[in-house]
Amino acid sequence: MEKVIVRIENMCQSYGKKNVIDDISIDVYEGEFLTILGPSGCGKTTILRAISGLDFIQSGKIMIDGVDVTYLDPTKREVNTIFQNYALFTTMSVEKNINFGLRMKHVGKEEIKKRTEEMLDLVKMGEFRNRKPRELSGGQQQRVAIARALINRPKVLLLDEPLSALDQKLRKQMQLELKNLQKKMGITFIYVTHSQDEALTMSDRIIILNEGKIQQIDTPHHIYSHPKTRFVADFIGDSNIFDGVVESISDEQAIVRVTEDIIFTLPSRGYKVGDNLSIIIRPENFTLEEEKNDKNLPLKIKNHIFDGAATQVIGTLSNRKEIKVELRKGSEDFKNRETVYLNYQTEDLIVLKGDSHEKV
Amino acid sequence: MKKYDSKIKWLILLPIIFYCLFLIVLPLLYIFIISFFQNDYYGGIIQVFTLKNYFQILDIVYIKVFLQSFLIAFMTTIICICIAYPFSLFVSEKKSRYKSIFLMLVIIPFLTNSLIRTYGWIVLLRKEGLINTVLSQLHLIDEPLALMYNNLGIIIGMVYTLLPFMILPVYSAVDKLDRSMLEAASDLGASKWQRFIHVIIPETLPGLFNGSLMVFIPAIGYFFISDLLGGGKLMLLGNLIKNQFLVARNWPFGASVSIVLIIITFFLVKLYKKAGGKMDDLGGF
Repeated sequence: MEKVIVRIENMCQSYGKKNVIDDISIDVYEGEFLTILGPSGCGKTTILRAISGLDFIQSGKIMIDGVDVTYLDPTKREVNTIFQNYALFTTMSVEKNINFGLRMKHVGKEEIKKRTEEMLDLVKMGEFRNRKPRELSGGQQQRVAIARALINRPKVLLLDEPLSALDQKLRKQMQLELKNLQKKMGITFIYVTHSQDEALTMSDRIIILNEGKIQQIDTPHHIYSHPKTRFVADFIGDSNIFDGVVESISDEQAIVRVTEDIIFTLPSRGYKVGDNLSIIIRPENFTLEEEKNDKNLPLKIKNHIFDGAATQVIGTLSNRKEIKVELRKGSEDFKNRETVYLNYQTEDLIVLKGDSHEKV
Repeated sequence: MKKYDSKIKWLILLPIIFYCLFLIVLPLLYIFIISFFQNDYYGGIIQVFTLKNYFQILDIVYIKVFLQSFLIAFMTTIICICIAYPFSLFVSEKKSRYKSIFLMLVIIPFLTNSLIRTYGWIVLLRKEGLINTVLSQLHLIDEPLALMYNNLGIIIGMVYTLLPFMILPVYSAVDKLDRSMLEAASDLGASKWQRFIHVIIPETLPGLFNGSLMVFIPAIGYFFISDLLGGGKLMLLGNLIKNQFLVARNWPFGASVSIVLIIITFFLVKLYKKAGGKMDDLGGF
């Protein structure tokens, strides 16, 4: 069993009347890259600030490495934070910024010098040591912020949307750098972002948060292939969601009616007639066919979108629902047809029971 | 059209030029010139060139006046800093509605003449004044505290009169300070005091310089505070200059002291600019 480095028990937090965090418990394992992912305002940053101690929680308990830190001052917690805007000290040089934490703790001069050099090497900022933050590019400022946190050898590094201020290309590059750094140092990262792309590429595990509640904690693969709630399915990746009702069950097969002429047949897993089901199909799990048969659905093509890597076909079904289909490499693109037929493999369907947040 | 425009421009500028020329430049020029003239025993000015007035300043008596003035001004500045920072940090944490109330409270006394406000302090500070009466009624003191007619009185008066000049620039710097920087500092293990010394002070240094200059320079010259609250016992530069012109009627000597004071002020402003201050920030009132 892996060691739990941060444990949050029954954390609640509200600002005014609004519940920002609603009874959340999380175990973070040593050395993992854990991402808290959710739309803005879902309470991600609140969790991070509770762990770092910048805000005290209203109820619940926070343990770091087995010690109850719920009421401990941020200066005494062995975690460090990378802030969204980096929050570098503008009047200090890169070097002074990096060793700020050690200077505050009155670490010996030799030790400070040694560890500063290590960090400057680690983030490749040696030649910029005397620059002020405003003389650095966004990516360089980011590196300084990372070094400034890591020099304290924290048990956990908290990252609050650290890449959001960077442009697309730099962001991709920093994602890799961060991931490599985390592997190299073996430090636990708790990473907050609203970008699913960042979450999926970097994380060992992802927590999906919405409106102060945990929707799912899982590996990136599992979150994508087995979303537990409609929210997760919708939030992670593109999905086409059909809401339908179980019409009849026979031979362990459930017939689910979405509209007059859209019907899904799927293996029943204890469904009852009248159950509300959400059926989710990822764009890449559709295939387009030329001929109609009794399973596939007619799709009126509206648009082809080419994003450099793949082509997406956007079309509408008979109920005017918009559908996204990602074409497989080398497959027919039906550029000159108005209507094609959508097919899918029954095992690719993700089925969630209606309003409940349980996966069925 | 162009000609017309420039005519209008001159028309608008004319009063300002007139003002500067006749109320600032010419009087200063006059002061500068008479500082090199001799005086006679009847308060007149003899138009004979001399450097006597400047050498006279080197007299130990006047050197002492300079030192006393700088000491008082220095202490006033330090005390103002010590009040302005806690105040600014306190107010900047408040909601914007309360912020403006607190700032109003700082600014409102400005609307009254500072001489009148200084008289107000006499009512509070003198032996039979409010503070001493209350304290002795409460049996906290046996005999009245000497709160005025000494250096303490001068410093109280100076701090009171000049405090807003410190608070406003310091506050505006503190208010602009990025809070996440302070959070980062405490995240990195800096205690409250360390945050103040290593982050807040360096980050608000321009405001601090600005305020110090706005307090220090007037503190050298405010003669009426020393007259009223110091009992005229302590001679400051402002008093010296005033006395030379109005009492001793030695205008050339008063003029030379004024010129030296102007030069010192000039160097202080130079120092401020060198430390990264902007001239615009000084003209805020």
